Amino acid sequence: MSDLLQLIISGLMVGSIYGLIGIGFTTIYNVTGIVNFAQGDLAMIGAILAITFYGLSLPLALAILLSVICVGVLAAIIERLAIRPLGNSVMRGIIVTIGVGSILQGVAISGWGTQAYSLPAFTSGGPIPVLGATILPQTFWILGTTVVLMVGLYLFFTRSYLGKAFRACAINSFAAQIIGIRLNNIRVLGFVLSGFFGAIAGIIVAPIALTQFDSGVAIGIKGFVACIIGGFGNPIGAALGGLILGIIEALSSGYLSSGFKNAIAFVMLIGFLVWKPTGILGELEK
Amino acid sequence: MTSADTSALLTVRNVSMHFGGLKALNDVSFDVIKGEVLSLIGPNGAGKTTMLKIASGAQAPTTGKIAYKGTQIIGLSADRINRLGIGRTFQAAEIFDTMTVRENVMTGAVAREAGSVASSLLYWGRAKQRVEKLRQIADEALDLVGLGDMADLPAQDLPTGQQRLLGFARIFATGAELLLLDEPGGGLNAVEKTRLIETIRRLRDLGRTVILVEHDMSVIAQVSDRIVVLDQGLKISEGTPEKVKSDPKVIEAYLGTSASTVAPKPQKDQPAFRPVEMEVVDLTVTYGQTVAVDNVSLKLRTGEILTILGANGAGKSSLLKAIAGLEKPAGGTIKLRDKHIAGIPPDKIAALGLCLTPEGRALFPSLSVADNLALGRYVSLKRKRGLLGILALRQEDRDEIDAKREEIYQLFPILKERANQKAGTLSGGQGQMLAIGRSLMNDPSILMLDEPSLGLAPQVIDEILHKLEHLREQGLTLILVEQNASAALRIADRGYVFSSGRISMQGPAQDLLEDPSIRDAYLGGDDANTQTLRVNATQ
Amino acid sequence: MTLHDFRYPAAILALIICYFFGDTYFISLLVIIALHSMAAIGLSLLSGYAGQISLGHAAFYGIGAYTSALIALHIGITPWITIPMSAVIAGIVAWAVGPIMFRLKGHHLAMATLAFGIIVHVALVEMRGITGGPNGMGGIPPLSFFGTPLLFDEDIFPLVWGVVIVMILLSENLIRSPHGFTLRAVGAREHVVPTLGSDTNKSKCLVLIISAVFAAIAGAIYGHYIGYLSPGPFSTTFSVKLLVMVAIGGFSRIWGVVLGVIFVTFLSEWLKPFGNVELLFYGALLIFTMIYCPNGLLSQLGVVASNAARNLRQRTPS
Repeated sequence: MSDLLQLIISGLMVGSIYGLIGIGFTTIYNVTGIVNFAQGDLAMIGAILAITFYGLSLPLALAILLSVICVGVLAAIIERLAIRPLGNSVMRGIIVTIGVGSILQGVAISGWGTQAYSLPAFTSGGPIPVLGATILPQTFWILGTTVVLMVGLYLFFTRSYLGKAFRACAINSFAAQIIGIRLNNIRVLGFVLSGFFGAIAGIIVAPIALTQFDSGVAIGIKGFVACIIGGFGNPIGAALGGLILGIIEALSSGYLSSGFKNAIAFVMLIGFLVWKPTGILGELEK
Repeated sequence: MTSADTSALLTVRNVSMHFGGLKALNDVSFDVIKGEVLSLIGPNGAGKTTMLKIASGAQAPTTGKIAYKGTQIIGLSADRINRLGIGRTFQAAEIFDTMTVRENVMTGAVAREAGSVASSLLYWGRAKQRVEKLRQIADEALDLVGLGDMADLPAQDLPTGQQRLLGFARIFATGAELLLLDEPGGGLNAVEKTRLIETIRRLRDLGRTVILVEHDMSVIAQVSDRIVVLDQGLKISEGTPEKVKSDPKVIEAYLGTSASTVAPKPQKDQPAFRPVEMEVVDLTVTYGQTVAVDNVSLKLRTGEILTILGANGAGKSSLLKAIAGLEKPAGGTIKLRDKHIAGIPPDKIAALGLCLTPEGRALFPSLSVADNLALGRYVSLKRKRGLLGILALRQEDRDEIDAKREEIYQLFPILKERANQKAGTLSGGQGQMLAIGRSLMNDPSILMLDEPSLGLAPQVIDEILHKLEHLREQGLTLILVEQNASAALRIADRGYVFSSGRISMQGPAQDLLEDPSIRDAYLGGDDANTQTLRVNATQ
Repeated sequence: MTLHDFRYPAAILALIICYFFGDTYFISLLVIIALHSMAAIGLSLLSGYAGQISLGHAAFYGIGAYTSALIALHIGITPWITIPMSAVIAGIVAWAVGPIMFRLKGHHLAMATLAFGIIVHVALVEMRGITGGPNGMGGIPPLSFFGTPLLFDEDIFPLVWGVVIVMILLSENLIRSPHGFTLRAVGAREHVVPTLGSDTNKSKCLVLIISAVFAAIAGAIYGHYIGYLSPGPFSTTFSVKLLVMVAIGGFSRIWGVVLGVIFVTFLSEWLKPFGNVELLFYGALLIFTMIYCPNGLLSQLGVVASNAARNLRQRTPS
């Protein structure tokens, strides 16, 4: 029983990260129609920057804040330089974002080499025993941050005027133009939000998983799987899909083989794509 | 339904197509007789294209049956239906732009002459013969439509009219006996239309049967053997062109009901003496090589309702989109008071108080009615506070939105009742009111409405038109684009009639309302000369 | 008469010159280029002509390599037979996977093919009993020619380039054949194709099978040439690299794709001394190509060059 609890907790933790990455996919996709294959690499850059700022003996909180802002700006630059000139082709969109991911990894290699880095835990202290399972304090930080971000995003979309304008663009970009919304503003906003979510995901997981130049690839793809499971373009779906994927992966590595764990996400991906392409919650309501 | 009538190539029986609550087709039945050109006409949203999609297998109807030569075709795949002998063209030319003209047509014949994969890979004698055969079929088809000289050009270099003809050649090459042509005349100039008409006649002479969906009534009049008229999914008339053209039901469907309760506007004031609010000079709008608006000049005076009439595809919506900044004009100027606004992005134009309520309303269905209205104020809020400033609105901004929204609620009380409902749940008329209300939230000085009456019941149309008159009395200037000509002319001060991207008539609304030749702009004039004369007379 | 009419003799002549005058290092690079070209040509048919993106093409390369090696190792048949066998197996896999994959379009197809590639890769890693897992498997018998094993780069060179030339020929045939018209039409405007009486899914599956066979043959030859297989070279990275080569070569240009492979291979060789800038450079090149040269970097350079030449010619006489 305690094993199961342990697995579920670690599943929730990993799933939160997938969910945050997945949300990053949706904020870009909904307003640009682009699937950003560099999403995971934004998370990696976020983690590496936070580690570096912390290494420059900034306080941890400030290092994190600074890194998140930097990645947001970076995402805006990506939109402006690589995505906006592109036009409307799916194949070219995919290849360009792969190119962006490659550049981000290249930058990471050039600046930080191929070795792995880690961030100190946000709060000190040993594992906490709960009902026979042991939980690292960082787990609480991950789950707590995820909950706060989800609630924040929900409030942004349902309460704030800007959030409603953002949704308006996702629902009907032509109508949004009619009421005077400049689409490019919102596209940049979508990228910045995506950068924020990616960077935070990368940073909160950095104390328990080492970060190196190619760490982003795997979590990026898993984040996409989370989106497909939950319903593509639907931010709540992405979060839910992330949690489901995290738990299934944790359980399968606990009870089946840990090696095939990596394949399970992709079997689920193909299964959902082919038999339930709208995911569990359906795509974004237009 | 029975095979007793041997001359019917295609029998359509009780076909209905429902999209949610909308009945795009409602129990439609008709026959297509071998060797005829049958035209399918009707105002916007009548269900013509849906009919073509169903007959070509692109969509399955909700209920009903279609038989081709006695074979039921509902439920068969599109490629299967084509191989049975039904070919369809698209509204856009949809050519394969990576290929030459001839290759495009050869592709049409492939299904007849594919051969084995192995022979294709090795390109031995058989495959060569097949390609040679395809080439012959293609060249014959190209000669038929008069593109024989252009066979080796890249298909994307052809002008729109010739791309359409290429589409015909391609579908002809499939060997289809029944050709479904979807608006082949859209965006063609007069010379191209003549060629189109010749080509359709030649197809018929070669024994092919044609179903033609077309908005240009002069084309319809010249090629049709019979006409079926649809209106809001119902078949309202069927018969020879002469019979259909004089059918009162058809005239009403096209020109709107004459039993409107809106009283004709008395000529009490002379709008000619009012200042010019907006002036459009030599405006041209093109899509690729299609000219939608051709050198149009018009004036809008302060406080008037100006209506722009004309058949579908005449360029009315394109004109509004160009003024609203949604399409970049290819030429000409647009002057709002003394500011040149042609080519300015749409958000800046909205900020100048020039608002568009587009065709189809363009609401945000999953947002509430209140939120839809609030978003109508986006431009001024964003200007005042910046992008980050509207993340959390200040109290004064919220009060401003509430006050403005209250004004809209007074104009359209039903919206207040529905304030917390999602916009997607509104009826058509309520949705139109919301769309107008959303535009009014921005305090426009000019409001442009594109087809506000589309798909609405007569009483609802009257209610909306009354509100528009009320808005004019409050000092708003309006441009009203309408298919429902008689309703629009009743409230308008002046009107322009568009055909083929140009102004064919203009004058005070009262005069236009009484002019019999306006019918020709919608239902196809027998002689275009009268129209030209009238233009000269009014200028 | 243009260079285009003499492309085959010219290519063969160039290869012969390289063969006799190139040093060992150069020849070994050309062998790798040939193997990558085989896979890239297939991918060009699939993603370029038929417009169906694949981010999992390395899977077929891997399936070819492993099945051919395993059959040769365990049953002891000559690689001359196991290579075609592996191609047939990869073709059957494609035939089975195609109808599922092609229910999807655009981003979804991209992700499904990516997932397919990863699943095959994970299987290669995890089926330790058969594939040797991450440690790989050695002792794969080499191809031999009348008793002489083709061990060295010089020995295998004529074979691999011979296969490349044949594949180019087959592909060019396919493109101008009736089937080629359909698959190009699918790439240009898919929704029109059914209205012309052709089945788009059949066409897509056909080209997937052909490209899988090409990739499998390349992978199989690779296995017998290197003599040792591990899952590393068959990862998503290789799938992406193939797509990069095809994109830079201009998607639907068979010869251009071969030039794309040559370009990318030499580029990464030249960049090696500068450390880890390869990723950076690839990324920049990809973005630049997609935005400014949608028909391929090399063909765009060709256009620029010919324009410059024309300008020069026009200027000289006056």
